[in-house]
Amino acid sequence: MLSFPPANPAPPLREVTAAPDYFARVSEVVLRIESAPDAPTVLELLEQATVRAGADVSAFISFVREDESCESFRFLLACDPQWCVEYEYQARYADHPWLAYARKHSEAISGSEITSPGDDPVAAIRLAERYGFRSTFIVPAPSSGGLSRIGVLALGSSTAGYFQGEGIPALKVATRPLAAGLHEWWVRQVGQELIESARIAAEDIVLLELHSKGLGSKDIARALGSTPSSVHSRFQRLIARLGVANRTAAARLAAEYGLI
Amino acid sequence: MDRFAHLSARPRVEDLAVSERDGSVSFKLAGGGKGLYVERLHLRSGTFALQAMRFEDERTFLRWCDADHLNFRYPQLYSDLKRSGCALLSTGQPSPPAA
Repeated sequence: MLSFPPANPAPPLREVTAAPDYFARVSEVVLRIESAPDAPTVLELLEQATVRAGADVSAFISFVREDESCESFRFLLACDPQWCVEYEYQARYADHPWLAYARKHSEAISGSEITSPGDDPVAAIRLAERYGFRSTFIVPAPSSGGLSRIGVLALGSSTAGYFQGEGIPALKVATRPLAAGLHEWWVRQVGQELIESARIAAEDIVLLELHSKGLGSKDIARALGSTPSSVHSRFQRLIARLGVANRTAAARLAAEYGLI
Repeated sequence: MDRFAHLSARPRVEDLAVSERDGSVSFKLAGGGKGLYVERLHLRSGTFALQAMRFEDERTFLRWCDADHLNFRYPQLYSDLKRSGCALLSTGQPSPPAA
C-alpha cells in the first residue's frame, strides 16, 4: 500500500506535470490496465499511476446498482485501507461526497470545490484527511451505465492545497484515461464473473438482447428459428441461474454488467 | 442462485480464503513478492462491498485487522485472518489449519 506521509514528498504539482515525460509515464501504466489479469495486478498498477501522476495515495470506487434492492461497491485502495473500514462504520458508502459528486458530474475537480449533499460530507472529508487525502483531486470515470454504474478516482496528497493551481489542467488530461481504464476493467471483470457463475452462454446473451429490444417469445423464436416454447424454457432456466424474478430483470442485470 | 453469488464467487486471485459461516463477511488472500493482497467482502442488507488492498508488512496488516469494526462481531474469523495473512506475509505460503 502507499503510505503517508510519503517517504519522499512529491514536488509541487506544477513541477511534476511540467516534466517532459509526465504524460508518457502515466499513460504507460494506464495502457497496462486493460490487459491486467487480476485485481492484485490492477491495484499494483494503480499504485504506480498514483505516484507518477503526482499524488501520494489514491482510491478507486466502483458502484453498480442492479435494482432497487441490490447495489455493490468495489474499492481499490492504494492508500491506508483503514480509511475505508472506518468510513464503513460511520456512514453509507452511497453518501460519500466523492461518489455523490461523480453521480452528477463528469468533470475532474479539486476536492475542495465539491459541495455535496451527502449525509455528513464534512465528517467524510475530515476522515479522509486523516488517511492522506488532505488535498484531493476527484476524477469521475466516463460510463455508459448512467446512474447505475459509476466509477470515481480520488487522488490524495498529504500537502494541503496540493491539487490547486497551475498543474491541474495537465493532471486532468493524464488522470481521466486512468479513471476510465480502471472503471472499464472492473465492469468487464464483474461481467465475466456473472457469465461464469451463472453459466451464461452466447445464446443467452442473444435472448436477452432480443428481449431488451421489446421482442416477445414468438418474435424471438422466429428470429432464432426456434419455437416459442423452447424460447420460454430457455428464459426460465436463465432466470433461475441469475436469481432474478423475470426476463426484464434478467436483461437489466445483464445490461448493468455490460453484457448487452 | 444466490443473488450475490456472481459477486462473491471470485476464484482467481486467492491463495487462501477465510469466511464467516453466514457468508456475510469473507476474505480472499494472496501472497507473493509484492506483499499481502487482501480482498474484504462484506454483504449487508442488499449492499455488497469489496475492498481490495495490499500490505507490505505484518504491523500494518494487524493494525488494519484490529481497526476493523467487524473484528468484534466475528472474532474467530479475524483470528483466522490474522494467522493466515501473517503466514502469507512471512513465507508466501498459507498457514497450516488451526488445531
